[in-house]
Amino acid sequence: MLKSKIHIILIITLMLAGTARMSAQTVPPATDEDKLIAVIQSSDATHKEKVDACRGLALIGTEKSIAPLVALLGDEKLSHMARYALETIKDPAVDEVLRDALGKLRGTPLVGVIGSVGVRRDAKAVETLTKMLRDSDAVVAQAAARALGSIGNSTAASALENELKRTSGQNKLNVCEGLFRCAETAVAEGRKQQAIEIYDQLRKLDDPHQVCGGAVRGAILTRQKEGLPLLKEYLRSDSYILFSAACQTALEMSGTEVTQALTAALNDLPVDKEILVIWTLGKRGDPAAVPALSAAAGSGEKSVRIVAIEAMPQIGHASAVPVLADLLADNDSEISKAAEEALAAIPGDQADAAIMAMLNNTETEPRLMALELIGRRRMTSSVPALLKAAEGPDAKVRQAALKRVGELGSPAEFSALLELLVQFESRQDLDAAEQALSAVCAKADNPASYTSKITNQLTKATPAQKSALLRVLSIIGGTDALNAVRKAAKDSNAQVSDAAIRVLCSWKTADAAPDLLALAKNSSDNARKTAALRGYINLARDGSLSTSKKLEICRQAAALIQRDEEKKLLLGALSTVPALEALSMAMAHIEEPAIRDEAAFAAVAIGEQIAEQKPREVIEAMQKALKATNNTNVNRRGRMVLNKAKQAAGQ
Amino acid sequence: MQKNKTNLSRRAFLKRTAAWLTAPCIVPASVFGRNGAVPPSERIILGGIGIGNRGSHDLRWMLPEADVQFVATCDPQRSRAEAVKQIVDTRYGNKDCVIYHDTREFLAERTDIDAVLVTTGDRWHAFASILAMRAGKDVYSEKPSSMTVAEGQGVVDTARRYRRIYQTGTQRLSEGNFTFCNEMLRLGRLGDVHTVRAHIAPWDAAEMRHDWLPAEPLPPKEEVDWDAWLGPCPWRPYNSSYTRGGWRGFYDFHTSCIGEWGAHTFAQCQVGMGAADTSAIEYKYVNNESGDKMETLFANGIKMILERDMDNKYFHGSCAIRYEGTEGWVAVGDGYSKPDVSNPAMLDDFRKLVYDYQARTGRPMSHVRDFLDCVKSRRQPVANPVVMHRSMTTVHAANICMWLKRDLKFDPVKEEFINDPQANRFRSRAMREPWII
Repeated sequence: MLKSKIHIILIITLMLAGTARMSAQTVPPATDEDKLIAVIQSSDATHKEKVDACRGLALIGTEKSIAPLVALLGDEKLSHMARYALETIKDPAVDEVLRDALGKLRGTPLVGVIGSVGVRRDAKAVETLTKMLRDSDAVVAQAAARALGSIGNSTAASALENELKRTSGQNKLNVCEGLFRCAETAVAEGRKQQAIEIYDQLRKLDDPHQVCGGAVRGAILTRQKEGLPLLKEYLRSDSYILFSAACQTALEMSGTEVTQALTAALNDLPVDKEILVIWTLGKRGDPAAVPALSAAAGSGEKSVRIVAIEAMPQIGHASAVPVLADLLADNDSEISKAAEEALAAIPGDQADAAIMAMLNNTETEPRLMALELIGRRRMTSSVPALLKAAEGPDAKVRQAALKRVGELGSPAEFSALLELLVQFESRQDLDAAEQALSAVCAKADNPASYTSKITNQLTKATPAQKSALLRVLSIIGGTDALNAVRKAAKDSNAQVSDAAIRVLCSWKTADAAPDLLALAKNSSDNARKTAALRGYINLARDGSLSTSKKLEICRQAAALIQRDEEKKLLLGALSTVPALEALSMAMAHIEEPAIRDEAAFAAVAIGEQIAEQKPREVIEAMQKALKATNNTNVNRRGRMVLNKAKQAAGQ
Repeated sequence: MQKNKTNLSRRAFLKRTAAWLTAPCIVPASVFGRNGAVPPSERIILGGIGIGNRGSHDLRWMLPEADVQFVATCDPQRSRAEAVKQIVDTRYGNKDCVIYHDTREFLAERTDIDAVLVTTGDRWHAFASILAMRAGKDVYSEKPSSMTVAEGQGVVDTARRYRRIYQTGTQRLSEGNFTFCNEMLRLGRLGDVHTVRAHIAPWDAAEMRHDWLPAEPLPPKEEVDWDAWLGPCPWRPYNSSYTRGGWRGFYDFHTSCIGEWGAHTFAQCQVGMGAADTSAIEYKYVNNESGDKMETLFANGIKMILERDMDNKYFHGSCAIRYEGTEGWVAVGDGYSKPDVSNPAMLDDFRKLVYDYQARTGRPMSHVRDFLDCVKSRRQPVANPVVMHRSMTTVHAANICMWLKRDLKFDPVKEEFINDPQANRFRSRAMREPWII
């Protein structure tokens, strides 16, 4: 006796270690089964320890765990965990003990066991479960209905069919659930006729609606091709629920005959139903629906027409293209817009061809529409036609075509565009050509290789053309381009020199710095002076510059600045310079009311970058900056920088 | 800006919907009853189950929709239900939102409700969705869609059985950046895709907690119905931390760091690679705490690798994915202005690809709107039961691989592990009575 007690205590001790391990280790070793059994049988083990033991047995339990677990089924606190372990043990002996427990338990433990019997699909439990369908406890009766459904054999189905005739409310819903499960099993096991009979019973019920609708689906799909007449019948139903069930079912059916059933149903439907059929046709994607959709798109209620147009790209068939093209000219702007949207997305060469035909129209509006669609469809093969359109007499078409060349073209179009540009005179044409030329240059691997071609044209171009070409040079960049711009800045023609200086002022790289500094210092024109100074300050943002070079630019600029606008610009540039001197320069403005937010922002941004290298200086700056600004975002970031700096300073 | 431009169909839809709503109903709801099918011209009557922090976001996206009327919420925690009522009543300027505490009573009583927003803790997602669909409601459920393979199967079966519309809240499936990446893959613009990478959450571990938090006095049932809160999970003593979100990390309530983000990213990758109706077939165990760098393999030959680091050489942000092919790669996560690409020219077609996707599928770039549209059109939304079940099966299998610390093979047709009975035991968990389905 004493030896036995010691043995149990030893096991419990071992298990406590094991249980503790369960907190961190999901799977116990298979050799732990005896220990786990000992825990669930022990009167000394806690509830938690027994729960954990059941968890373990759910993963490693074998035949020898069954009896100890079954002993817990009547325990309301542990019944669930016993099933938790038992459900996963494949041994048929589990079915026997659960079946046996069905006759002994009451209340929630019984409900749980019924559930487990269903999960394990124990066919031998059908008789007992059938009796439970009329249990006075509704929860038991409902669980039994579902479990019978999970078992799903013919006997279970018959029991549920009998019960269906006399039940109501939630019990009826659960009997229906059981019957659905039976029908699904019947289909899976080749008992198709039985499934059809079940679905037919359910679909003819007056309620619940979800059962009727679900059964319509099952009844049609299970009949396969023979389900088509039933589909047609429900497409004529006055009930929107059954009608929508038919439409939804059609989504799961392939074949032109289904499409025909849907399109035939379109006649004389109320708008809501018509829309639902059209949505269904679109989603099914059968091109055979296009004629019916075209008819619906062509006339009638506007909301239906629009839905029909939107369905076209979902089908994506070329036969929709002429219809959509015609609808582009519809008097109703919502219809024509919907057609445009559809044409933009409908795939394929035929749609491309229809749009190219529109481009060859003699009227301006269709051609502009074609150009819009060419862009949206990204029809890169259209570029030669676009260049041709860009040479034409219609200014609107020319400019839209040039815009598309910029979007869709490649550097291969450079020469053609350059040639066009130097033929244009109007500002609108030149702007369009300049934009297109800039866009294709930006796509080049080596844009500088185009510089000489542009500079060659500069000599013979008109002032307006030169101005445009100089702006293209600013996109290309590089030494040769900069030299050409410098030269143009000294041009005797004011329009050219003005354009060149504007280009200089927006130059992106620091090789223009000496030019801009000189202009900012020496120009007699105040506006030009300001533009140069602003351009010069912006150069400090060039990411390729060293910190010292950036600082140098900021120093030079600071000496020239007089207005708050440029001070703000400088503070923005300083925020990108990770240097103590930049911090000092920013903090010099922290007391100036008009710009203290910008100064604080710059100080915080610099502080973020140098907090670890210069913690003490950053702490001092942040404390001042936080006092100076009420900006929430800057304050939040400033506090983070302050903390970072304090940490770096060991505070 | 881009988002707006690629969202024309949604705007157009809403405009038309608003027009219909102001017109006399052609088919009055009273003729047809409710919650079986919502005609295009009708409002969708919406209810909520377990709406908390995350659910409030979903709710705030749904309430402004012109064809939605939210009428009731159900929660075993009174304070949460009251917070939802306040949001709804404030929105509508009345006091009409009704509170329920018992889900079964709520679903049985409110036959007027067409659809429910399920945003409980993870443990209740599948269970509540199944109950709601069985009661004839369409469901928008937060992720993850299931705690086990069996639960996922239950969601799929129930949705089919009652022809319900179901969407999981994996909203990135309805965002332009992520859609672009999927379209790049679908259209073959990355060449033969051999590898995809999926973010998993950079906190927590794959190993789960089985401990209990210290017992606290049980609050009155009308304040917190603890038994209902636990639902189908094993009983444990009450501790208020669980009810405030502290349930994460526990085996009974959560799907680990892998499920936390994998619910999003695995679905994203599987939709992208055209494997949304299957699951990975091989899982290589990695000897770390999280599953970081685990390689999974799909039957189409594509590897999906789990990535844990927030900012790594493949992507940054959160819930990121990356597709790698013989002709290039794309990557995207939260916070990207545009996807990262191996060649900038790939982005030239960004707008077109996203627009074409919307036109081809009829899906807007709004996850909530996609669901609401589908409630009316009866087509399945992008994060439908099959997509979510199959991608969550990959999540579950990856977790099981980590828990068993060995490689696993999975048969996606039979939905069982191959030659591994112990792994198969993880596919389901007995539900606690009376919370059984």
